[in-house]
Amino acid sequence: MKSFLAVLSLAAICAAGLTACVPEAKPAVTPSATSDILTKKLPSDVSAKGVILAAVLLSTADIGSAVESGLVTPAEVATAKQAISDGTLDFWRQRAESEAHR
Amino acid sequence: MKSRSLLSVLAVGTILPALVFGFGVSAAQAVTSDATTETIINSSLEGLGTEVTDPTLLDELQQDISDAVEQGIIDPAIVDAADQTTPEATPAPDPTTDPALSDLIDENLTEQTEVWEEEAPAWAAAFEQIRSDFEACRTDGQSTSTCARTLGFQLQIAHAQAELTNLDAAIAAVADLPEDQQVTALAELEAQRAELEARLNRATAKLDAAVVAGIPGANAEVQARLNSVVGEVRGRAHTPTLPEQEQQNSQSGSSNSGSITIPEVSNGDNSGVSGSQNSSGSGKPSNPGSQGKGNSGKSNH
Repeated sequence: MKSFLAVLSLAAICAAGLTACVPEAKPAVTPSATSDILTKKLPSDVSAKGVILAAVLLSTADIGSAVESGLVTPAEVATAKQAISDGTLDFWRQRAESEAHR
Repeated sequence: MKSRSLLSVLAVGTILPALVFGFGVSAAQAVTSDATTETIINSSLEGLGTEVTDPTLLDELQQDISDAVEQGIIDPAIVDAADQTTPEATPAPDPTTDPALSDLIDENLTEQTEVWEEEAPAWAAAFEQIRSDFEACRTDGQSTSTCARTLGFQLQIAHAQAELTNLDAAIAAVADLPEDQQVTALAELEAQRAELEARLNRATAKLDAAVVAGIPGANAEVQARLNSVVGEVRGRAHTPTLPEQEQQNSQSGSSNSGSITIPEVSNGDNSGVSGSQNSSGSGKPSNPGSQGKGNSGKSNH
């Protein structure tokens, strides 16, 4: 019993320690999510370049004014925000670079 | 409507008008070098785990960012910091006094992400008002970007109409506040209305110039629609009548439109209204959670 409690305590300490030490992890990017971003048909109000631009504007600008000026669409901002959160922005960048030459 | 709902409506009403025209344009922004726009793009994307390596895409993004800088949409502090971070910058930035570009970007991202979380539904609703025109534009073979720019004024109009609806809802909800808070709340809503009117006036000036310049999407019909919204906003000036008061006026046979005189309001926060309206004309939302630091101190243009 005593050794069981010791093991439990050790497990709890390890778990707490790991939680405290591991930096906030971004959600894992699944292969299907990657494939979707690179190949899926986009809505008419979303372009890959617009998603990248929206990410830059979220980082540097007043996003409401950017939308009103027509630099990006609301859907592109929403997609950029999601991509930042999911850690998938680099796939949008790949698609944008690919489409820049079409 | 309960107080809590009112707070929500008022908070939205406070934030919505604040983003209509964004920041001011400083003299430093009049000319944006390629090095500065490239630094803005690279520094932003670096923090987000990616980097544009394709020169064609980079050129396109630089043009858009240059336009955004010239319109005063990019935070001037970020433009200045990017300008000082470029390899050609002289003198080199002083790390002890100059804010780090990456810190400014992080702050702005946090702030604008929060703003967008609150704003997204209103923007989505406004876009639905122009969706059919947008689809038609795309069907004509235009790019997403071109259609967004062409329909920008129409999107502004739809957004302003949504703001007006929120304002009306907030005014109607004031009656549910305790009596001692109603006058203050109405005064704050009138300040919001005045701010919205000021922004629409600037939009009118921009649209007029765009019509003269022959910018696609800027035409007499859009002017008429914008003027109509401006008229609606002006029509609510000084008449934030409480429903109860309107009823009393009609019962007493008063021919008065129901206007009430709003006294000067002290700065004390006794309104019970979340994120009290910043009536200084700064154009920034007063909700601390949405306003943040990154864009503070900027002027409207």
